[in-house]
Amino acid sequence: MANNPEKLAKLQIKMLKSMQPDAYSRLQRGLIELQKDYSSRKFYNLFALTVRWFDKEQVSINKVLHKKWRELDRYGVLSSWEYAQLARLLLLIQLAELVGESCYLDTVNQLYRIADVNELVLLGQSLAFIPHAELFVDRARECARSNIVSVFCSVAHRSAYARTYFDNTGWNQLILKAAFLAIPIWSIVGLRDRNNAELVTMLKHYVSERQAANRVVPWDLWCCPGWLAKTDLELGYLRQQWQRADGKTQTAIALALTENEEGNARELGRQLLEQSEFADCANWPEIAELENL
Amino acid sequence: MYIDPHIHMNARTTDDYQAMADAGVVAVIEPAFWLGQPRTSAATYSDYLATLVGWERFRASQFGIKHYCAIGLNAKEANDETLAESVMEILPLFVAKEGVVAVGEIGFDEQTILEDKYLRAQLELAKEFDLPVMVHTPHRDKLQGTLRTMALCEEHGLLPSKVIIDHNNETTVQYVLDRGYWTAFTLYPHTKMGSERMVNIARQYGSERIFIDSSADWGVSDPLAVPKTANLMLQSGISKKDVHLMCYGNALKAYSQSGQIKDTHWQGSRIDQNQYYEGNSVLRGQQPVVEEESE
Repeated sequence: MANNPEKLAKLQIKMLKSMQPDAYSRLQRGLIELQKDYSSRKFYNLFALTVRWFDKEQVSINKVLHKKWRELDRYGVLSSWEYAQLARLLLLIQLAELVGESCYLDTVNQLYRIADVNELVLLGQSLAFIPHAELFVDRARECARSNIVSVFCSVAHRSAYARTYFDNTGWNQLILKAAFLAIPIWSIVGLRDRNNAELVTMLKHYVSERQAANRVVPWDLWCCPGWLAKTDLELGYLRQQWQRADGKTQTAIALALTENEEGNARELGRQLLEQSEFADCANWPEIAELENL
Repeated sequence: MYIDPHIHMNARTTDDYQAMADAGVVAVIEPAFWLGQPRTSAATYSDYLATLVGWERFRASQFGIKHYCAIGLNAKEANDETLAESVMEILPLFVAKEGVVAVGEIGFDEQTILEDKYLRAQLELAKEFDLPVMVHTPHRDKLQGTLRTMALCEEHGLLPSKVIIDHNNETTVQYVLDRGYWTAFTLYPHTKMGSERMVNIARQYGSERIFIDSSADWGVSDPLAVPKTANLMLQSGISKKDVHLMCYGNALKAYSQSGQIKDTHWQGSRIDQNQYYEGNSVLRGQQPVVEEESE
């Protein structure tokens, strides 16, 4: 994961200085005060005050900074933030420089404990940008257990954090939880890289449960078994599922098989895609755009 | 339409929410306070504050009521210095959250040195975050405690127009009004103030900078005190305009100085009991109420 907090902080300072000069001056004074005499109380106070000082409007990135910004914010997360959120991220990055690892860990953990929903989303999304991100896997796992969709998505979507730091158990639970919450699976960063046989088995069990109860199965769940199917048994299972599926799901099963590394699976995928209702859909975003039936 | 600007809904039932909504209460302000027994750690205090900005807000929304809160360290627990120090450390993080309309309820209980210390610290916090202050005036030695609180507010440079002095009675009202503070009355029939007495106060002092609340909590108290007293005021010949100011308009004006509460928040809002908060619903198998979206 290309996480470069130092470079990002420089860019953030440049942007906040030019777009929100008064608020930035106050933040800077607060940071100087922290450097002189650090205490967690002072840090929390500064972290809290940033939302009062900075505007709650979406950040505007000028043309000069655009390219550099895009390199650091690959999924466009920060570009959708407000200035106050950006200032809070800057504080988290600076905190790691100001204090030792243990204090940094304790302070960020405390912010998690006290966070409301919006703040949890901010903290979850920040994980992809802060120093020593590996220290916060437990916090990210908590977000990935949340039933609040925005909190869950803060680590599941537009972030490579889970792909990079979750172990297999964490990863598999993340994908299964996405199915439970009925949020897009196909767009989870790292879905293909981290796909594994254990996950496929869990998803198949989930499918059995849903089908036994006559409930809908998320269409994009099928990419995971489709990408990994090798044996006749596995391919037969997918063919059977394709036969009972709606047009959108049929297209998803077929597309996943065409992306499989095994020749026999790709061949089956081609055959099924030709017979699928939306055979023209050549990629996941296009299938996602189709109406659910 | 009514606002109850001081009520501890965390201690009340969903029936109360329903009755309040039926009676025309559109918004409530829940200040942080004592739970009837002392907390033993900052962590439990923090969890309590988290419910005020989280679950309780959701619960209220399920009955069409907008929930706001005030965040603070109450006077009783200010006397536990270890707890108080830890709570003071995390208070800024809560004070800055959305829907927090004041620092409160803070003030004096026994008027101890520690109460004085943490009241001062929280007045500074309110100044720093540019928030109004909701003041709890003591039950014992009320007049002295009220005068002392106002003196502290002035010493710390707070504008009276940003301070709401609550739990007033006939002995304090004139002093509070004279110094330019918002003057709130809690309607506890047997202790603080009854509806009939409130009518007399309204007759004598009018509606300028005066408003009422129920302060209903885990004790014997009435979450419908605001609408009931409003009705009694109207029956007693107090003008509609004055009743509106004392039961809605003045509280809105006082706390809207926080920038966190606006009448547009409840105008056109709708109930959707299909909603969940962290996977939890207020319903127990009932048919969810879902109001149509207004044009």
